[in-house]
Amino acid sequence: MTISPDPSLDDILLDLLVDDAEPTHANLVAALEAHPRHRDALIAFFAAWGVQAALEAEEPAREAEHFANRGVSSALNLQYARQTAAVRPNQAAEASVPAQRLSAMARRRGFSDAQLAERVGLDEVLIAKLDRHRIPAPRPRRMFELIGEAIEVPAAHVIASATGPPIASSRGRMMKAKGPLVMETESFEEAIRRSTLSDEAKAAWIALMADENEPKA
Amino acid sequence: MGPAPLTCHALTGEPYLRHPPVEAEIREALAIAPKDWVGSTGRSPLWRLETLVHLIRLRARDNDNRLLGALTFAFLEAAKPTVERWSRGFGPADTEVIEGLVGDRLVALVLAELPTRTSEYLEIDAKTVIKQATLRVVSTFKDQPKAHAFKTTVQDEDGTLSPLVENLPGGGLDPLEHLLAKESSQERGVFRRLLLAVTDPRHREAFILRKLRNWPYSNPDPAVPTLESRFGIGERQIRTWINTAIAQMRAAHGADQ
Repeated sequence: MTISPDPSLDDILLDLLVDDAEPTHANLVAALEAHPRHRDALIAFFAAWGVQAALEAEEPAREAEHFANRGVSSALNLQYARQTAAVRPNQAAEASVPAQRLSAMARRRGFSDAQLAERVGLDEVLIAKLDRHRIPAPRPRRMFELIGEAIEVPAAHVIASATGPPIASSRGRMMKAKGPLVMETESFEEAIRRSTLSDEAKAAWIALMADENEPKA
Repeated sequence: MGPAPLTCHALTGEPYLRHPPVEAEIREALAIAPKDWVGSTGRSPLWRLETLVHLIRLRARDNDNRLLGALTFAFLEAAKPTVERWSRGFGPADTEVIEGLVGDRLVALVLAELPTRTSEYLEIDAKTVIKQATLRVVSTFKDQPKAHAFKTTVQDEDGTLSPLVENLPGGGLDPLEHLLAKESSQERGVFRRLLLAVTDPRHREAFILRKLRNWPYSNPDPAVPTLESRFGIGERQIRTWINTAIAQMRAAHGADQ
């Protein structure tokens, strides 16, 4: 049996929902009598539940991709932290970068940054910037799909590998920094304009970015 | 080959059991190679949410980060409508923050190292857990009215501004009272749409808790939750809030007619 005499707040709230209780004041009072330790959280939960249950009008569905991509990144970070902790228990605190770096994934498929860049119509610096999270969202999803096709991984995984806090270019640079290391980022359009791509290729990427019908990530 | 049984028990003492269609779907998945659990596009075929949770846990156990990412994407994409359903009435920026926090909470439950009743219930009825996780985040999210959201005047065709209250339909049966008294789902829908016309979320919450959830304004017993303790203000001001909410809903209802 895993029933605890003092269940967690998560489990208490789940039981209320599983029991099909209504967020009435009377039910709140009963819950408070049963679990006085969680008084503030229960009051806040019942208030939010009561309000949300009343708001049933239809609203346009919001885009799911950003939500899902962010969650994938969170899952991979968590998984990587655990894997690192298992392998190097004393260095678990270092586990704050994604499990899979873009450049590492490309290398496993036998591509250098330059070779990958050539296959997807970018340049080597752009791939390096994506690898180090220096180009934050929004970016054209099509770019990640092309990279994913080239290195045979799902686009979502490529997006996760290129999303998160900026990563220092080298450990040495981080060690040399006297104060907090400021890592610059730039928009996708800025990065394209500064790239070595042909004018025609730059224009194509910028147009893709500007197209409102093209999904972004 | 079937999935490992769940380990937790309901409050009644009954062991947690997956629903038969979920068990069948997991067996179906286990009969094929994991790489075939997702399509070539990186999106999973239509596995149930509960099945996806089980498959994600299997991939996490085997350190298969590639498939873990693809399955997690499919799970969260399918979870999104439920998250939306229970996080309404916020602006775009607040919504993004709320959804990010809910996503993190769901991922932590899916990848929980030690099973809890809540984490295991994801394989029984995932939508209920998603609802719980969303409401938990929403309940900790402080509603702050946005100054630009307040609309206390209306502008006529000549550009003349006049107080909103002067534009309310007057006399006769209060249309809100009429809607509140009605039981048909269609009119309840109208009423709930009007709730979104209330610009200050605190006013909307006060109205709902008082009119729909029967919260008292005050109570001599400090253990009883009241509107005064909830909002930290007196009954008089709460009544003003509720009247403001009613005025905005009445105006929106008048505009609908």
